Amino acid sequence: MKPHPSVLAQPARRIKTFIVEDNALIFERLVEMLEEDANAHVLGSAVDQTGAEAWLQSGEAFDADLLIIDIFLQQGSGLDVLEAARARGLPCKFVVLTNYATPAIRARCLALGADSVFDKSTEVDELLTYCVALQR
Amino acid sequence: MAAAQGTFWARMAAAPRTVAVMVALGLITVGVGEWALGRAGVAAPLRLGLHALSLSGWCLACALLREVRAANRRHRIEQQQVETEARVRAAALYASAAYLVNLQEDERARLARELHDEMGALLTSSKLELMRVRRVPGAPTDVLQKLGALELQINQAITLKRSIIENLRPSSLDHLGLSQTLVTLCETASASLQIPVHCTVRDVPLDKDAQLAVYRLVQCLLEPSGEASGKGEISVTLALANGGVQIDIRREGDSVDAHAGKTFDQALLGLRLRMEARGGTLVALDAATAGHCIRAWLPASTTVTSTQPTWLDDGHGTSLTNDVTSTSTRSDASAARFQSDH
Repeated sequence: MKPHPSVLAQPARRIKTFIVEDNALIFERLVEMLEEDANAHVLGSAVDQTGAEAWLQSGEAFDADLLIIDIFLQQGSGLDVLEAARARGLPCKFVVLTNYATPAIRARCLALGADSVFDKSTEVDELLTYCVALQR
Repeated sequence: MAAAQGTFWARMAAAPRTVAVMVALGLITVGVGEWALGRAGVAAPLRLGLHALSLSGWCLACALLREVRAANRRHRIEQQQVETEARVRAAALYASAAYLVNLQEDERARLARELHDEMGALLTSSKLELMRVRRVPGAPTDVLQKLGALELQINQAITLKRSIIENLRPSSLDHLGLSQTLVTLCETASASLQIPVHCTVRDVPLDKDAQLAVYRLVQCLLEPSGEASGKGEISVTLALANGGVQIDIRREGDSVDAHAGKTFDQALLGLRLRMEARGGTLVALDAATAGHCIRAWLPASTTVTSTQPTWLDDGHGTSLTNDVTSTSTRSDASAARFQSDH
């Protein structure tokens, strides 16, 4: 598999990523893309708000470089996870990856402290580029 | 006859106050009559006859009075029974309407969730996989072109799926709240109807189901109608009023009547039932005094009450404290302005 173009000239530091995504199929594809195309290392994942908030309270959360959050979850909302993550004061970047990246949702996510918002269907390339830029 | 007498005496015994009045009036009549007839020198047998006649008259009058009063009482009881029956039937109708609406909304929510979880996941996953395949080195150009076309189709399918899901159950209602969802709805309607849609809304204390009811109301009234398209402008306001929430959908320069028709009337009736089932109201205001306006009111709590609201300003202006104001125009729906007091 050819790495994402922006990875080619990058150093080897892998960004440690935690993913909040409720669908196993999408999660699997996302991990493949992040690890193979963006040189990321996925620390773990949560499928709902409770699981995500439990991870946020763990010490591992402070090791992460990037937190990727879906809005629609099996239970709870990614927006609440984002708010909790911001309140926790984690030093990592917060990215929302959603199928509903409407202007209103984007505005709300940014207001809640997201560093960036990506459309799950049309802006995955941009997410990979963002991940690569974090490695610098 | 004996039965009739028994009935009479039984009824008299059951009405001691009437009997007492009869006896008192009889004694007064006899006393006054005896005095007057005695002074006039009327013979005793004749006086006796006259007294008997006057007493009979009083008895008859009192009996008739009592019958009238009993008839009135029966009428009142029957009226109360009819009113109670009407209230019970109305409550049953509202409960039935609420049940059907909840059933429909639950089904819509279930379909939206399944479309999102199942079909959405498959489409998004396919899209991600396709993106990876396109980056495989050495792929022939024609294959890449075909993959590009396939990706375009998947994008269209994803867009269509999103549209269906949002129509079934607006996700922004859960994530962004009613006011922001209405702003977005007005923007969409403005683009669709090609007329300005002004949206003046604020955060209101409504539960999820009531928020959905308000959303459906506005959604229904902003649906495109061939005759109304391109004419006038629409104002949507959401404000606090009399312990509840008031929603106005007002058309200027065009008539709500443009929607008139059996389907619209039925939809309006359905919306009215939906509001009333939640303890609210829905009225079409008089066009001559208030413009063409549909006005609804819902109590702030979920408790059903029969309190009639006191409407806010009926004029074309409003006396509201606005949290969010948006105006969408046909020329640039995306240029809607948002201003917040917070």
